[in-house]
Amino acid sequence: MDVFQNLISGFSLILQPDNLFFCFIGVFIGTLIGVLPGIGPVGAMSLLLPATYKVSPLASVIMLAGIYYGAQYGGSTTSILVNIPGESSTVVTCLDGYQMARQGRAGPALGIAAFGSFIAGTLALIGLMLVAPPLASIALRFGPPEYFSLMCLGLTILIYLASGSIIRAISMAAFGVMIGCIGQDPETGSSRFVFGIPDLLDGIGLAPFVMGLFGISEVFINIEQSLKGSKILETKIKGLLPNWQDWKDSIKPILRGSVLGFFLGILPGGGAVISSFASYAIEKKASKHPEKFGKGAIEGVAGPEAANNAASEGAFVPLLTLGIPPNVVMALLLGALMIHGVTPGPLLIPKHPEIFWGVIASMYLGNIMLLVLNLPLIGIWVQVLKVPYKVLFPLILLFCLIGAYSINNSTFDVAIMMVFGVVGYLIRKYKYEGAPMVLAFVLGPMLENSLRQSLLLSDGSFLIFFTRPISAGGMIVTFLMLISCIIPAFRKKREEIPMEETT
Amino acid sequence: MNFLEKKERRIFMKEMKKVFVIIGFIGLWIFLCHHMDLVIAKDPDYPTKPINYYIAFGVGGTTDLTSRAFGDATSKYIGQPFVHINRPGAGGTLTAMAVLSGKPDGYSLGICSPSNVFIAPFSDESPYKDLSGFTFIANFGNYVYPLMVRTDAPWKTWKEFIEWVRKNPRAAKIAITGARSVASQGFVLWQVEQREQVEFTYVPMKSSAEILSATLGGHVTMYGSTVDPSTVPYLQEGKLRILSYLGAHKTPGYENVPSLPELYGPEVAVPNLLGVFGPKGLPDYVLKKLDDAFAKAVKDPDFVSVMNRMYTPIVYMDRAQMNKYIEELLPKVGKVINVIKAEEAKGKK
Repeated sequence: MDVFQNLISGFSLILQPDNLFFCFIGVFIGTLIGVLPGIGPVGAMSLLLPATYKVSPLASVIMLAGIYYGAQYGGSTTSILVNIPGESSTVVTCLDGYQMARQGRAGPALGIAAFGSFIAGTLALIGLMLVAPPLASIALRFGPPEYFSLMCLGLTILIYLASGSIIRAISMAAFGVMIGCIGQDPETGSSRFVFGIPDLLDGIGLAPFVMGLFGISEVFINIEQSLKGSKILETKIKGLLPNWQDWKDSIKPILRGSVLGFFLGILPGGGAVISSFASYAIEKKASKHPEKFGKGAIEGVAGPEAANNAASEGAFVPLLTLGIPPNVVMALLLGALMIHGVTPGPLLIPKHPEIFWGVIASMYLGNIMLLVLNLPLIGIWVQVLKVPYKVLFPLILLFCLIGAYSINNSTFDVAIMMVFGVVGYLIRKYKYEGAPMVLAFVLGPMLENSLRQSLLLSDGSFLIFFTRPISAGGMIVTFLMLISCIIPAFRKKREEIPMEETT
Repeated sequence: MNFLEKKERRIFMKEMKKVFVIIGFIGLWIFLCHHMDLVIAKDPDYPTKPINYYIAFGVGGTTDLTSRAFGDATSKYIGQPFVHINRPGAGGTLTAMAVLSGKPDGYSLGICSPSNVFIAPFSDESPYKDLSGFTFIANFGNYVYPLMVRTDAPWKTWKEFIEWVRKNPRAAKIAITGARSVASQGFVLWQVEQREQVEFTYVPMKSSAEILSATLGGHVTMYGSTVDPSTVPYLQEGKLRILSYLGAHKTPGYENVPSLPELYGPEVAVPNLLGVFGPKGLPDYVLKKLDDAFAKAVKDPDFVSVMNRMYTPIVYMDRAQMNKYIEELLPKVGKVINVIKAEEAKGKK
């Protein structure tokens, strides 16, 4: 019952008016920046970090955390409405969410994204509360070889991600890996594909890459279409909230996505991005009608949205219990705590229980606030679809430009985004898909890093991937999945899925 | 009608003349206001607007938090805000580029660290090959680099560790941030390898958080990054042990562990710097103002408390001291880097 006592003391802290206020401000800003493409939680949090110096450490963490998980709620909105991911973790939501919007089902898509996020958020929170310390020690057991096998497993997701030709998906993935190679060699520091441009030394940023590939290319594509006078909406808006059938289809994906997201969120690296892709792959595999995926299947929205939200809360486990931030946002939160003289780590819960339980209590409240905030907004968002292209797309372009610039205060990122806008346009013109490219772009460099680190640890022996239990398990599952693709029966099933363009 | 029009025209012309005279006077007045310094020899006011302050690393890290605190403290004494702009990338080289491309008017300053001052000039990719384009204004801190192992490791001291490495060549896996030739840690440890005739294996990782995780999990032998406040609880809890420090600075409470310069003599070059630089050609009146403000800022209580919380020692060097430090150390660093590079090139063949 210790947990409940602690939780109650946490709630007594969070229900104080000032903490409540900061929680609301956090989730409100989070929703807002989630909706705006490009302007991600990192940008907003770094702007607001100095503002938190004057408030208590708890209030500052509550607010910054609110921005983070709030952004995961809001990020799906533009994915569904206009096929532009608000965050890189909502790339997958575009695949089916946008198709749903075109069929007039934007309301249910947005609704299931909000409810799915809420359910996943609450479940992940229970996980965070009950099993954080033991889970944290599992995260430590993941060294370079374990990551390598995890990344191999991640790349097999590609097979399920493609809604059309698998060859096209793999060629796009290869392209993504190549782009991920740009920058410095992780071991020797020599540069690759840099062409003497210092801005390329750290590689290409994920956000400008994704925004260009999806957002800018969407604008380009629509410049053509508007000549023909078409609208996003092909039919009338049908309903604002998910109906009973939608719920029946979505509840299992939401639950699976929550568990998957929570565990992947604990591990360092792009937890939210990878878990959303993985959830999509799992749902497609588990579905009785995989042919519907890519054409507006609500499971393809519910699962990934639940996964990315659960991942964003799973990420708090290593931060709060180990003091190890698994991603950039968590590093920012770590900074905010350190500036107040509170150091997250094994001593946080014994020394500052009010921070740990206060943050947990604030997340319960924040999730409810987000649901209350987001549901009425659905009606307004759906109206966005009625805005004519000539008004909507210049605005989208503007927000993308601001977003790309704001990440590193760099005009170079804006240029990168525009280049990938053209690339994305050509890709879609020739009926290729962007999603496998994004997945490979995220996984490629992590795969390379962990491979080379592992080989340094083993003095060049590949056996290291098979002598360690977690790593060996991952490799076996990877092989099984690859073999299952070669088995003719399965292959036949795959080929039955008709060729279809995702856009 | 005609007469009236003529009269009106005359009145109009008269009025216009007045207007032209007034415009002329206003123009002269504006000119004088702007170029008063041409007429009367007087230093212009500085600063009259916010100062752009480029931070070489990402938000939330040690460099960012201490640099922000220093900027905020300085703005108290100089009377204008410091606008913090994070320009991370390429080990601080992008910040250096932002400083280089700024006007020498004192409104674009940046944070310099070992990587963009000591390492970048010797890198093939770097856009600058010497430091002549910069003015180094003040140093406010130093990094602390503890070399830590898990407490269940068999070595209690650095000497024991080296003996073990001697018996088990290449078995010591030291995690550092970035590749060996671009990270200052690999560069210092290379000098130890030379002196002891041993060989370490360097495992490059992205951040000190990743290194901490790999060290705690037992995946690598040694933590070889800057001290992060998040490592301190592990020292207090007895999970990690410091075997030595790369440079002279130590973590409070763990000062009795000898550092590498103490073990191997002061000739082991350890570049360490955390300060402010600007483009070359800053006018004297700007430098004077900045010198005064920076000297006061390092004693500012808010700044001091942030530095203590971040376990980062305050090391103040004024312009002359900082330039002397860099001038003396730079050729030494260059020599070592060139040897490492030659070795790496040989290894590739």
